[in-house]
Amino acid sequence: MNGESAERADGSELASEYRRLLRWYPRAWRTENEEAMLGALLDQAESDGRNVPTAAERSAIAREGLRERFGLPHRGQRLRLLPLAAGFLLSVFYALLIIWAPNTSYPGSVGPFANPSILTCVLLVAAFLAALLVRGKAASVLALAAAVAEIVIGIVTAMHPPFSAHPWEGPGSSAVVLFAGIAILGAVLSRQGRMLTAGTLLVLAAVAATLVVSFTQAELGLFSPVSIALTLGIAVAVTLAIILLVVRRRPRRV
Amino acid sequence: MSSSELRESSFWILTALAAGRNHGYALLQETRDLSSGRVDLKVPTLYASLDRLRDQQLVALDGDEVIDGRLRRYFRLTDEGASRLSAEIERMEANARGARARLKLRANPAPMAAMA
Repeated sequence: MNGESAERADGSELASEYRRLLRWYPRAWRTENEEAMLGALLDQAESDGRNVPTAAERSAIAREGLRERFGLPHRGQRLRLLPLAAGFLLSVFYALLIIWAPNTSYPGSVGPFANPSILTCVLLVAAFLAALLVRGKAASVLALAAAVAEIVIGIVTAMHPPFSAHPWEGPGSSAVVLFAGIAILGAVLSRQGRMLTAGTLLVLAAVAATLVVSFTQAELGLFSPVSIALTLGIAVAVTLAIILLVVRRRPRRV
Repeated sequence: MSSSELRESSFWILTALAAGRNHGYALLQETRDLSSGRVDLKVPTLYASLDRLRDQQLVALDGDEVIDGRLRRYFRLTDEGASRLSAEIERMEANARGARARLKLRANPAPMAAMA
């Protein structure tokens, strides 16, 4: 059908207004669907006896157009993004307000950042962006990498305390537990299908085992507050992972 | 066939198409009427739902027609869509049977409870 025939037949500016709103959708989608949707929108407006789009129509067109354009997640998927959204906010806050120190340089600092947890922040931000683009597997892998990175950074930091022969600036134990916990939860929930794969579980178990072994070798001792906090955090994360692996995901609504 | 639940809007779209092919605007009216006004879809939301249902092969395109200078796109229920709708109806009926049985228990309490 001729793209302009609807305007001519309708003889109104309404069709032009709808056509302008439909630019929220990508060009390829419009080529295939614009005339059909325009016809339905005009039918609805005629039935309602109005000659302007409603506010609800405007917002629905913008929302669905953006979703079509960027593959944004649907309502059911959005709740699954909460941990990664929290990780994103935490990362931005931590990177810009906590560890931003452009004029310092010592073991552990990375460029203008005071400690290497900036790597975790970058991975968590990337994981959130991947999840927004409905790249569940990439988001999960990035979040898991963030968790592993933060735990390794935490181990290295714990093994080189401030007053040792080779001190190393790193994140506090609470930051390690917080980052690792959010990252693991984000990795678990951003996956479609089973909440956690056996491979992921094995990685987590290996990380936990490494952590325990590291502390037995470190001078801190197994029962120092730092090691207890970290070990507890990992234990909680692994337990959660096992529970989520066993419990079936709630069926997705179509 | 998927075991996932249908959203109410998807349920009514499939139900509206069960009687035969239909176009977008008519589907809006039918889903509103069939659901007694609970499902009041906007055109973009309807098309997004139809895209999703088409991805799952529950609904298929059934041609375009130009009426009074406007394009009307028709949709139809696929065999898979009909099976899925039947399964959903059975699930809802089973739920209703269970709930009704429980309500009867409330109306006719067990003798032990009555004695106590």
